[in-house]
Amino acid sequence: MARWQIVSGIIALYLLVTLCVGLFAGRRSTKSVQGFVAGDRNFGFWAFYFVTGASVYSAFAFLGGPGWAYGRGAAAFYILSYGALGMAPWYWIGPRVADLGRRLGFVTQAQLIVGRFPSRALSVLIVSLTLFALVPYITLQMRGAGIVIEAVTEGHVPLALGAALAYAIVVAYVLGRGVTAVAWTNTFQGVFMLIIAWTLGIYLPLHLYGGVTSMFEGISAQRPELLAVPGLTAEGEPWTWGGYTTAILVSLIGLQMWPHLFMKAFTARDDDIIRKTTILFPTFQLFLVPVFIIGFAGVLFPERPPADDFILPFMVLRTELPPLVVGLFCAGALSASMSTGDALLHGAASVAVEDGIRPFAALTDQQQRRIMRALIVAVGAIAYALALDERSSLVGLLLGSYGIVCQFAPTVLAALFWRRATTAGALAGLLAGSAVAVFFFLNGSLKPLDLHEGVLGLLVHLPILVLVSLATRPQDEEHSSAFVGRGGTG
Amino acid sequence: MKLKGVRTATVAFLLLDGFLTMWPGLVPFNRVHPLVLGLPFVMAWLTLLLLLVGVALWVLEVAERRAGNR
Repeated sequence: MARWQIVSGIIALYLLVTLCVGLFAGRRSTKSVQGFVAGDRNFGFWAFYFVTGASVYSAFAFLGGPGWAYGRGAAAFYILSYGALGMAPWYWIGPRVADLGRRLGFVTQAQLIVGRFPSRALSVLIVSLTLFALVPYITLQMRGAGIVIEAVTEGHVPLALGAALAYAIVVAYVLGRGVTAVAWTNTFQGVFMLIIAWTLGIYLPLHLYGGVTSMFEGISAQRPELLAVPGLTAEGEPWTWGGYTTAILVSLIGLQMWPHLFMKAFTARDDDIIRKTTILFPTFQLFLVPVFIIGFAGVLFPERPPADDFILPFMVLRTELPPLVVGLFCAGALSASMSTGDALLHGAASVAVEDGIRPFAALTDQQQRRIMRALIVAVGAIAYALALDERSSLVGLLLGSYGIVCQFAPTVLAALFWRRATTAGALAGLLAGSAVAVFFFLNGSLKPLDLHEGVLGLLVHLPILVLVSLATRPQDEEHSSAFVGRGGTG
Repeated sequence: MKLKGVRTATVAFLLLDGFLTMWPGLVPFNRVHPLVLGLPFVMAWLTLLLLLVGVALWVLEVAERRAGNR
């Protein structure tokens, strides 16, 4: 049997197991919208830990992480810094969001914001920004899956077919069981990707250079510029501290504002689970260390991959690893892609229905679930069509979407902590902040000090939110108290 | 230490931790040698800062649980 056939066999087996886990493992949720979107607010610790971890770390971390370390060196370390710090505020915000969800029946981020700031325009704005941010992200996950499958099967399974296969399975289990399937497959896939990352991260330097120490000594002697923060840009020029620092800031502010992550707060059974996950999140994040080591292992490797992001599959194929290891690696990368892709698809469809359609049309629970399912297929199909188009600059779109997503942060914080905030202020701030972020994203050369467009957006967003709020009539005490509670100020 | 003190200390520590990961807090630690567990010094340092975020929140959680007051 040829090598690629063994590898394909392992991948097929992996996909089959994922499908079974997604469709059959664990308890069923109820057939309500709350069951489909928020798992009846009944997730335990392990489900919550892996849903959070595996949704955050996607094909970007598994393929892009080594790619960054390989091509841009220490620039990649910013990924190491923002994750844990970005999760930390969730220790306080998460339980509060979950509590509001239980009391007022929210299952999405936009519902919470619009609950505090009643406005259909705001709801539509959030849905548009959400879809604008999530669809390219889904596309990227699909391409990631397709690239890996194409590479390790030596082109026998082309990108288009590989991506279609992997995501047909994702769509099948998300359609079947909603967020419950996401939880179970993410637990399975999360464990899988952690094991693969650590195994390869230790094995590759050992196999190629005799150990991690000698590898880094070698890089330090030959390419010292790669090991000093802030590292290099994608073009190989030295990166700026301004760019590095604001990349951390924007990502840590934006991290929990991603709609597909934010809404997971509504799935936790109790507040302790959210706090415990926040405390233990760095243990998940630690897998970036082997991921970066894998990337650095490519630096002294004699051959060059066609693109930086291919360094991991490239090395795995060139180092004559046993086919079993190649197959498992591929499955690990697929885990990373699919465990984020499922949360994204589910999130996009849930938000579109709950916040884009329901405020304008009275729907029964059953109708909502039916439309959500249709939208999961539709969003998947759109993302897939984009994934096939090689010319679309999706990586660029994704980088820009963090600038947009972090604009949700002031709005959410104002909704939860600032009594004096008003609907007009929230709407004006979000509009202005997103517009500024998009403008500087499209006109990168105008950015002062190489600051990230998301930070520039926030610099406009915050004063507008505050000034417009103060200039408009305060909200009803009774209304704002339901959100701000006793601990609030203002 | 009173619970309020632990809370303040935790937030202060998180802010310090964040400051140390970016400019200018990271500059003094931005070096390759000595290697720590085979990793460049700055990479090991950032990994430590990452783990300390969890430790800080854990200390707070224990303090809150003992005080029986959330």
